[in-house]
Amino acid sequence: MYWVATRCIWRDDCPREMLQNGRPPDPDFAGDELLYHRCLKEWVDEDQKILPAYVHFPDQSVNRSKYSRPWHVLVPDGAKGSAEWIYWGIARTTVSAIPGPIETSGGVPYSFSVEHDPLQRNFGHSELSAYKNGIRERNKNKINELVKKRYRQLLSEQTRVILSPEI
Amino acid sequence: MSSVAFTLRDTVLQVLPSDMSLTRPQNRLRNAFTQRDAVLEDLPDDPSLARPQNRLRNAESPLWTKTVSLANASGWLVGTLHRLHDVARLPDNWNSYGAVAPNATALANAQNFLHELSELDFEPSRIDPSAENGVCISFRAGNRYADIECFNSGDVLAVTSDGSGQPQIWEIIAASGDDLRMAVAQIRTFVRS
Repeated sequence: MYWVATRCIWRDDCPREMLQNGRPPDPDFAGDELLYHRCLKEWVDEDQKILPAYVHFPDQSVNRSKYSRPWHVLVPDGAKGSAEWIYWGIARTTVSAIPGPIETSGGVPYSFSVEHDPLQRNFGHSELSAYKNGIRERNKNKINELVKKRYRQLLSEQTRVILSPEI
Repeated sequence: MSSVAFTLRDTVLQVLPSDMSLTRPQNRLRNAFTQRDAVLEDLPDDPSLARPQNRLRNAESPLWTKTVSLANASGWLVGTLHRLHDVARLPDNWNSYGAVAPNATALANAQNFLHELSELDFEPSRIDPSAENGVCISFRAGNRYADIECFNSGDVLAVTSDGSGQPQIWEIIAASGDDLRMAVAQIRTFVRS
């Protein structure tokens, strides 16, 4: 944490291993690959799970363990407020814990996955994605509310906090 | 009976920006109710209190639509409503992942549910903002979890789950009192079973 504070907040730096450096996206995810995202104390219930209310959907940003250390999600990205991320906690889930396909009562199929979405200063950045009729859907207003709710509940049950937040 | 009341207006005022051009009567209402919050629990059961407060309650305001009487309310309701006020004050992007703060629609629906829960003395475990833009009222007993999520869109969804991966999810028609009461009863039965 001291490294993060001294290098990233005061010098606007980030670990070299986080830099993309021209590397292409890697679409292959193993089922047991870990996915990390940051969390606040308020988001965590007594079982060290992230409460469903705090599960974002779709396109939740995560960092994949193949290219990230857990604490990379706490490295400030220069955005307003990101300097406080070093006090946040870290939650993790696995690729295999991403909910399976859900079909609405009207027969519309939804499926879910994770896509590697490298950023220049965060190569491990990925997104939990949703697909409607097989096509990626980024507009949450076009996703069935019941599907959204089920997904968030199921993902919440599969998420664990691995670093307790300080705030 | 005391006529002191928590209202939807209280909640909505919290989300108004401070520089909003409130009229003078509205500022008086804000001040009156800020002071009232501080002394709420110590107020005597004095009928003479009714007249000025009823005048406040009857003030013409589109925000003044719902009332939760504290005279018959459960003891936990005051703290829960304060928590709702805290949630109402969140800025946009409060979660750093782009969530929008709860709006007046979500807060009003949440308050309706809290009123119903209060009448049953069924205390929720938590009140949280929703990462999907709204307010979430949740309940937990052991591995049994349930919530009512009131979205900014006006949609309200409920879920019950025992953690086995088979959650029950349904939509609640927020404008329907019967629907609201049935949902609360269903959740209470599930959590307490």
